[in-house]
Amino acid sequence: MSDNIENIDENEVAPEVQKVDQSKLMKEKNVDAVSKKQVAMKVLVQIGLYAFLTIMALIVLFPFYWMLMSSVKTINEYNAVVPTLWPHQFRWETYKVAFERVDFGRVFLNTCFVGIVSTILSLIITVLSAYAFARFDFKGKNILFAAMLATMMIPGELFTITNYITVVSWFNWDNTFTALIVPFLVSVFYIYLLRQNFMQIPNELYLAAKVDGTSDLKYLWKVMIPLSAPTLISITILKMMGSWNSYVWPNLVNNDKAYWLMTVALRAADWGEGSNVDFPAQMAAVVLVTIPLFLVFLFFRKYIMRGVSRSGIKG
Amino acid sequence: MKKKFGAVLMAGVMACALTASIALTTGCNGSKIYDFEMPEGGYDGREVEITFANTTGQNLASVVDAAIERFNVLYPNIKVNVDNTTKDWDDFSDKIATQISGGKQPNVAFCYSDHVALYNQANAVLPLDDYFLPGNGFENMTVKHDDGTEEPLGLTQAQVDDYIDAFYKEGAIYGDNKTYTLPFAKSTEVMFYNKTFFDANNLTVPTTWDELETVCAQIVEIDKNCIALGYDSEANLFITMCEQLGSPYTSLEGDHFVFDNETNRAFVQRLKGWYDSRYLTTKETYQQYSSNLFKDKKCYMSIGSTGGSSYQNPGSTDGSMAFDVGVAPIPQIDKDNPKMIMQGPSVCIFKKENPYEVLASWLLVKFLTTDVQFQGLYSENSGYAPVTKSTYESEAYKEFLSEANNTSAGLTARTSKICKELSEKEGAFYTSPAFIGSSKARKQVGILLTTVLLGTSIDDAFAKALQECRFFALGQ
Amino acid sequence: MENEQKRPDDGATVCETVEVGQTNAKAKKAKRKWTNNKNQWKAWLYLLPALILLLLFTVWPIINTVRMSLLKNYDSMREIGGATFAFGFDNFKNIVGFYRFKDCMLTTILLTVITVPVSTMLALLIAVALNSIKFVRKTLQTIFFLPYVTNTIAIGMVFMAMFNMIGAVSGKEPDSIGIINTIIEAFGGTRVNWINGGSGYLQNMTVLCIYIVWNALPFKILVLLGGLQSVNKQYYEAAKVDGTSRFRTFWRITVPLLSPMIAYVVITGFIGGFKEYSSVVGIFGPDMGPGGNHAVDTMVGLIYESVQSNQGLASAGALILFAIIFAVTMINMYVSKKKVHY
Repeated sequence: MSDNIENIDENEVAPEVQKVDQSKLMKEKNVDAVSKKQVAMKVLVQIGLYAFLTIMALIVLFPFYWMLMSSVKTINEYNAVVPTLWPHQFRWETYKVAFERVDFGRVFLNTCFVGIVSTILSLIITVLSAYAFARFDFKGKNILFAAMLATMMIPGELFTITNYITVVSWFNWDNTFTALIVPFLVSVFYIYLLRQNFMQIPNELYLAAKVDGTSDLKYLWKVMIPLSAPTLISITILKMMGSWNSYVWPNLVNNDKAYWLMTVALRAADWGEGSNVDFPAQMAAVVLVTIPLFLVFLFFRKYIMRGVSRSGIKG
Repeated sequence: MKKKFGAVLMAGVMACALTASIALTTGCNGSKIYDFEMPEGGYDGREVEITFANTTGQNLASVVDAAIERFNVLYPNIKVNVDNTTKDWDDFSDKIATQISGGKQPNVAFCYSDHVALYNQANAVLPLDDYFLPGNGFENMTVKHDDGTEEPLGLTQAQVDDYIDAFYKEGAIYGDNKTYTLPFAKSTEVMFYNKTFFDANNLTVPTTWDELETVCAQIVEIDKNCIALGYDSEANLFITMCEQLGSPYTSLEGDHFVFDNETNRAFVQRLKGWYDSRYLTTKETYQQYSSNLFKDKKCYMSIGSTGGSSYQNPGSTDGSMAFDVGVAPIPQIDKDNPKMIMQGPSVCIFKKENPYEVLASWLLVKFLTTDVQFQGLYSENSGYAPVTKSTYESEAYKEFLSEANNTSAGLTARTSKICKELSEKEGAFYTSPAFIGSSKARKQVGILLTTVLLGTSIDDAFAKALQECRFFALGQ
Repeated sequence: MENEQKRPDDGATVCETVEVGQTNAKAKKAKRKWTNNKNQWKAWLYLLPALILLLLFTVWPIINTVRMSLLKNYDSMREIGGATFAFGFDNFKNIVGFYRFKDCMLTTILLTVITVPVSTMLALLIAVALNSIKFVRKTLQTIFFLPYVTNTIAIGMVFMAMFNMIGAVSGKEPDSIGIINTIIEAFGGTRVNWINGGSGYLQNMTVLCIYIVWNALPFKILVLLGGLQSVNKQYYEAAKVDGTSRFRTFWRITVPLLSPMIAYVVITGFIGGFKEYSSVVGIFGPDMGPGGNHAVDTMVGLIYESVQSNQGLASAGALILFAIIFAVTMINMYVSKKKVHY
């Protein structure tokens, strides 16, 4: 962070910190007055919190557990009329079958490429647009913003045919990565999310930066982006997930195997037919596909959680 | 300003959109369908690349690939790309429909008659009669193989006669007397029964629905916890009943949806009675494929597609079956005038700007549907029946059919044999008329039967099905 | 613009509630001065890439949607085939006149009105709880993100295992009654037909609501948790000092400080809720009801069903839905402008 910002932080935070310090002193005086009842209350609240979180966690965890268990069941057990919570017989070779049926190497690289490129470009566009909406005043801003929100209100399937014609007949983008990336770079959903976050950042920082002669772009890069890191990372994860899970469009525009994405390859692979479909192996493939995503998430998680609490940014 | 901006925006958007749309009311689609014109001299051996869209899985895809390799020995300059990413039939036809809108349809595709009706709204499918079937005026045209030999470009009368008649006729059910498709591999429904159980209890295999009713009564008496018969497809059951009773289901002309009549209501009522007595269950009502019930001995008869015979195999550890499976034709109303549904993919050729692509497509379609070796192998690997008589007469296929032992392959062979026997009966295989909305009708009668079995009143179910069909076929 | 002017007051309200001193008064006064004409073109420049792409891939399809909606029974295949279509509002009339139109609308509204508040509330509680514990915090946070990387097929399957009855036909004892019914019977209740053929609207909707809330939770938790990280810890410390109760702290500090994110989650939740479709398909299949009877069909379900054969009708349906979502969003925005503190 630049010196400017730290200065701002100090100016902003200093009075409050003093105030808190004073309060702390007061608090210490009151400690004696805290009765046992209150301590008990506190413990109860903690227990309640953990109980609530644990129950919700179990509920949320269940499908994930189910996915893992299904991936090692035999076809018969998977199809069993009474579903089993714990497989009678673990069938680890499902993972081998998955590797045999799907050419992971190629589609993995393709998916990573499309995922990374579209995430980066999409982030740039989102940041710039959100910045314009959060920090500039211009004619028609509200109308434009509302109009952009309005575009979210029409069910997307209606766009598919028109966009398909645009992409393949006008631009001749069929069987290219461009067709997978460009049409989905702008998401009003993310622009709106980031704008909300940007608007939380106090204007005082901007004013101080202006006084110091910091350019808009530099301010965006040095202040806004670091302070909105959790939201930006959320957007990154969401966008990556989107690329990872998209199916209908990639399947429509790219028939050439050289441009297949993970989902297309998974569905195109032969898992058997009718009641002989090897769903467990398919689930194993899904688990394999999920692992890189999960690692990316684990890597990013600490950045979301570390947050920006080191400085007072609320006006 | 803030309070007004919603209204202003609404008005603005509407105004813009209205102007734009009025300006655009005539054609804005990028796509155009090019009519085919026979190039002078036909296919001249030039390099062409074509796409063959199908729904084959890995196993069958390798059979198709091997056939294409042999095709390329004859025509090395025709490069065939196989697109088999989409396996689900509804998704498959939706995808091709969208591709037609963008002018990027494949050259050759698997199809059902409903799909052809859909694609032909855009006149996208090539009628074969005018160019490649006998009596077209191009009979003298030939095409040269890579080794210098020649064959006629179109089909000869002998080749047409070699297709199993019922299968071939399906190509021309669109009301304009034109042939749009050739059969690729076909299936019908047959009844699988637990032979061990039938023998042990001295039960006779039913050939009519009346006999079936008697046998069902006996079965549920023997095993109180079972359902006698599992029928996978509610829609097939409804439509087949219509055909066997000779009562209307859909028609090509006028109001297409003519399935609401007294005969049909009566048989639905009868089926409901069977359902309540545990004689009958279906996939949607039970929430389980009948083949699974059959294998689990939760039912002793199972009616399903010949294409899925391997699912009916109650495998045991040594590779044979846990009990003997018998195969029989489905029960009939009139034994002497049997009716059963014909299913399985046909192939159609799409019109394209480059006429040589169309010619190359034709050569591929001709090769795949007439080649004895390919037809035999495809059948052995899928359980579908071959579409030409010569395939049945070939040594390799005869050998396969003779292998009627107690294994999966043996079961497939037995089903194929029944399929062949049935196909020889004049008019035994039926297909329903294809029009826009025919797939909707099929779906709706399936739902109708399901909901009646589950307790909806017959009046309500019929009324609802009719309303659904008519609403979504408004364009007609 | 008025929004900008309001902000200092809102800020002050928060501060007074929290009793953490005052913000810099000078900065407040200066706030209005940072805009000038120079920024006008700059803003548009920042927006340019987004606008170009939106024009091509969103605005153009919308214009096309409007066009299609005004052509009776329009279909792109028929158009290529040379058919012509009458101009007018017939598509709108037809879709509104459809016998299930009202049912689809009712189901859509009910699902939205029930699930959005419930999922937002739950997500808020979870996010705040996650933020206020120390022990196994990281583990729990990771767990709450797992649904993100869980395949949707798996989630659908779990619901089947939980609610689906198999073999409940002809009065026969079912092969499987589902986990939930097993629990109900263990507590002495009678089993319920949740989603199978013959089940009632109330049961269907209950399962759907649970499914939708479940599906919506991870995203909302992610956004709210991200938002919580940006909240100044000092407010909490001050509240602690003042002996403010947890409940009061939650309503008076957390909720106002998180209000921009809550507004976001609610507004996008409403937009998404009105477009509900995939969760119904996930449980009831493409025919949107037990046994395929369309009982819990939604507006988007109706639109997608028409799009296959009649894009004109589908477009008309989409525009009607658009008008409704637009009105609801305007109300939401109006409310949130009064309540949200930036």
